[in-house]
Amino acid sequence: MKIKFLFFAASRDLTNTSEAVIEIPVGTTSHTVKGILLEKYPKLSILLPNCVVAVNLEYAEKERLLEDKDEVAIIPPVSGG
Amino acid sequence: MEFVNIVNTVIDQQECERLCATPKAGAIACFLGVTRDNHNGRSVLKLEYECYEQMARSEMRKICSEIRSKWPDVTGVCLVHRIGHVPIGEASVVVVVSSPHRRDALRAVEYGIDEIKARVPIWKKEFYSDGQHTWKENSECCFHGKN
Repeated sequence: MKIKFLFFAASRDLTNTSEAVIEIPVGTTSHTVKGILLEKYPKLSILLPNCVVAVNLEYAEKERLLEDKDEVAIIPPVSGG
Repeated sequence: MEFVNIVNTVIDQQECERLCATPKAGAIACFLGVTRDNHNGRSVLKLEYECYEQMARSEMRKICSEIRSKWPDVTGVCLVHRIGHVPIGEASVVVVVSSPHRRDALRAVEYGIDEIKARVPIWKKEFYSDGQHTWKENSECCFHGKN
């Protein structure tokens, strides 16, 4: 299935893109998807362990199954305020 | 009254206070987060913020609702964050809460800014006088070092 990924701040700098559509296998969770991203973007390895994943605008539990057409955002530690 | 906004120009603090004012409110508490010209002894030349706008607005609206449930007497909540280049000394965030008496407004303002810093998907980049720059990470970030 195809998933749209969004990258922000430090994660965008490391991937050199703000969004990408990537084919992932059914059964991928918001946690296991990090492995797929690391294969595609090895430079993310320094940041990804500290990131969380948001699915369709909500912070996702690690076991959240990703579904076709989900919008998945890689959220580095926030620094608003 | 609940008002949430993300802007890329100067935040109008007085407008935020006006939005929260009602005849029932005897207190209007306001917090301004203002950009600093230094960090850990390093000279900061400028700051830039970016956000995941749809989600940031959604989290800010949730914070408004949480304030309403924690302090039911609160009459108005206004949360505004600025993004893009924010010159030194200008407000990057404004939190205003009104309530009949001061205690609820003061506590709710503190809750509001704490939660913004902990979980709203907004990021700050600091540019230093030595030419380097870095994406900051709030120590209050709700998932910082917990993965």
